[in-house]
Amino acid sequence: MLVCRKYILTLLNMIKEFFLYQNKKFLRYFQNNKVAKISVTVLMLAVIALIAWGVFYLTKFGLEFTQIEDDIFMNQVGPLYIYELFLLLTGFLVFVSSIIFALVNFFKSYKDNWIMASPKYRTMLWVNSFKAINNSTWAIVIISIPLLIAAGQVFQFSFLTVFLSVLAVLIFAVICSLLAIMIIFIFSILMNLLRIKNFMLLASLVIAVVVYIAVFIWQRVVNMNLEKIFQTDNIVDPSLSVFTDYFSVFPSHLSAMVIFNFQIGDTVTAIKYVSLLLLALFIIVLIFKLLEFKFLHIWQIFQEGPFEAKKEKKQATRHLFQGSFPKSAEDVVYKKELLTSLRSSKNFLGILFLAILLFAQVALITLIDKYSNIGDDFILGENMIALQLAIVLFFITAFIVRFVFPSFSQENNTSWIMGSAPIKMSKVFYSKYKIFSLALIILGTLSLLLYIIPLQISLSLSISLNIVTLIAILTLTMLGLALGSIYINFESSDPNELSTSAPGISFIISALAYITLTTYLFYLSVSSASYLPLILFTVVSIIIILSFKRLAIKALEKMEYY
Amino acid sequence: MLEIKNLNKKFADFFAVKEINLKVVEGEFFSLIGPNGSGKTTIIKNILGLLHPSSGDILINSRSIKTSPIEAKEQMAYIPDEPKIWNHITGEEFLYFSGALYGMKKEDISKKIPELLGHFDLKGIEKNYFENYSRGNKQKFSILAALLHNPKLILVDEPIVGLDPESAEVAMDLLYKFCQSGGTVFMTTHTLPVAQKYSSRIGILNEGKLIAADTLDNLRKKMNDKNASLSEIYFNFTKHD
Repeated sequence: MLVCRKYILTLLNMIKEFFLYQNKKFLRYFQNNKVAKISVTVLMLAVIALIAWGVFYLTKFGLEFTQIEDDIFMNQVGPLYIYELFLLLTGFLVFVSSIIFALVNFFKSYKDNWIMASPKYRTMLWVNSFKAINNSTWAIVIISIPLLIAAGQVFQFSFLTVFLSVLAVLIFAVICSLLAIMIIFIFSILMNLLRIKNFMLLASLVIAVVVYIAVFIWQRVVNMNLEKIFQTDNIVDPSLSVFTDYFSVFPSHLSAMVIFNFQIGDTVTAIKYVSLLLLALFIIVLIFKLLEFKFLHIWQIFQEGPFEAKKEKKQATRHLFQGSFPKSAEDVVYKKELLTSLRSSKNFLGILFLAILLFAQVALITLIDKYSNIGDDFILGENMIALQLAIVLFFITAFIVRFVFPSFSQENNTSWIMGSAPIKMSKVFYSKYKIFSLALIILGTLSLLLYIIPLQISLSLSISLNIVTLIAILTLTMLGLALGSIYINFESSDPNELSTSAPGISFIISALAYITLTTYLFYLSVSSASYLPLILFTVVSIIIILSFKRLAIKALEKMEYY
Repeated sequence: MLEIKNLNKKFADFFAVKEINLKVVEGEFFSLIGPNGSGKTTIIKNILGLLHPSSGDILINSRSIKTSPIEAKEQMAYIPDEPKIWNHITGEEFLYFSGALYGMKKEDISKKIPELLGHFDLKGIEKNYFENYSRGNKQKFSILAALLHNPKLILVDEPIVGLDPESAEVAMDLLYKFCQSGGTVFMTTHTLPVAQKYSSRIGILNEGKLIAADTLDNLRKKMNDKNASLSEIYFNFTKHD
């Protein structure tokens, strides 16, 4: 009991310190450029409010839809299905996000040196875990609160019920995050025992686990026999186990059952499930505590890099300038961009995460059509195709915000190399534009093919869709890169910070406006069988590309490198 | 070789450098010394085109950095005080990259690299990523990159910070030999013994103004002390300015 009390007090203390620190950070943030920062904050809050409203409205609509039929079984299974799927998907995303964060930050930050050199080094395990949880779970909190408020409205939850449901979701999210860290930690310990020191091997093993889990989840969900679940026998004599058996293997099931039991008024069972979640969390934290002694050793190994005390052997590294040698300065910069982007594990994992989200979304639409009775007319209708175009472009914008927009700002420490070299900044700009637009075109085209081929969309429509996507990607990339060049910020190299600055938010808003216009004009073109909207779209895109290109190059030529 | 004409550089209302007039001829090893914040790095960055002069001009072999930046930069090389280079590029790749940026052919770069690596005994580690190099090794690679494309003028900001004593001597000898073979070095440093040993002329900067620029002997004459050390000269000039 005393030990438990001690740990609970430590945890509460940490949370208190966290909020005190966040408060100071918040106040310090507004010390400089107050107007711009207040505007950005207000805009961010507006965007979050919009997302929350969207989640609330869609959830309420979905839950009310399940209550339309006066059917006890449907009324229960419908909402439970929504809770299970939502929590399963968000839990998986938290898990993947934590994997990426932990792989890149957990053991490799040189800023932790001075604490790791002190007697308090073990706290870094908990501090870094807290950071990973904070980084990965804030989004789930933003989405789950309006969802649960919507459920509360439909099923008349009390405030306490909503609060306990949010708590259940939060605990579940923390469990997912900690599980991700634990996997990396355990793999690192095993590799150390086998005297294997290879970060790429560790990353590959972890990614293999993620893929396995994704496939397992997918098969479980897709293999659900909805016809069998809704057989007359089950509806007459409802037994939820025929449904819950599919989800009971996942940790998300516990929190889904919390919400569900509150919904049907079984408060005792709901609290039982909350207790189970807390127990699961306690067990994971206990495992962390047991593994704590290994943290310093694993951290030390990660600092060592590839150096090993053994005989020097010839390194057969294929390097950047083997093969064709650059014919021009632009070519040199292009090759350098390609290399430094591909070799960064942080970039690679970030791209992988966003690409998984994009392909998962596209695959979902395709599979809904194949395995459900929704019907081709709905999926292949102009509005769905236009919506799919919007979604692909939205994800492309997410890539641009994360990788393209901050590209010049992230050169802050290395900008002296290009700045002092006999190369025009326009060439550097074109190199970056070429490489980013090429990568995004490949990504956009692949995701559209995943949609077009299985659904057998007509050739003419497919061609239009691809051409529009190509032009839109070229335009969005130019917009992102140009705004990032015009509003270079050498004070930060953190892409998240750069993306949420005033210029970053301006880009997001401009991109969303452009995507809306693109989608609308494409929809008009398809529904009216006319090419005029597409011609208008092309003209607008060309104007954006040419004008922003000019502004960007002008800004780069005037740039100073402090 | 290098001519700075009425250079002024303002940041908002603050004059970082004021009315700098200076000529450095071919084959000269010029050192610029001064207190922290006196404007030394600002001058170097203006010469390189990393900053734009608020007024005045800078000519490198008669090419203006304002109107002909590409032609001017082709003749220069830069060794910064703290060389930040992309983490995921190897030392060897960085040398190839630098050479290619200055228009060198692959064969010429390939011939020079082994010789250059030998100066600092870097053979065997040139295929490691920059993120795995010590500060000193990063500095060494940036020195080699500067020497690679045979510039006419090398601008150096604190060349020996982070280098072990032996490597520091090798670095300074390389720069000195570069001058002997017709190149020009413009160096800023706080290490006065190094400036005293290698420089043909020394400039003293204080609060953005060039208060003296002459040979060591002439600076001593101005002080009326023919045995004065450079640090004594430095303190004398900066105190009385």
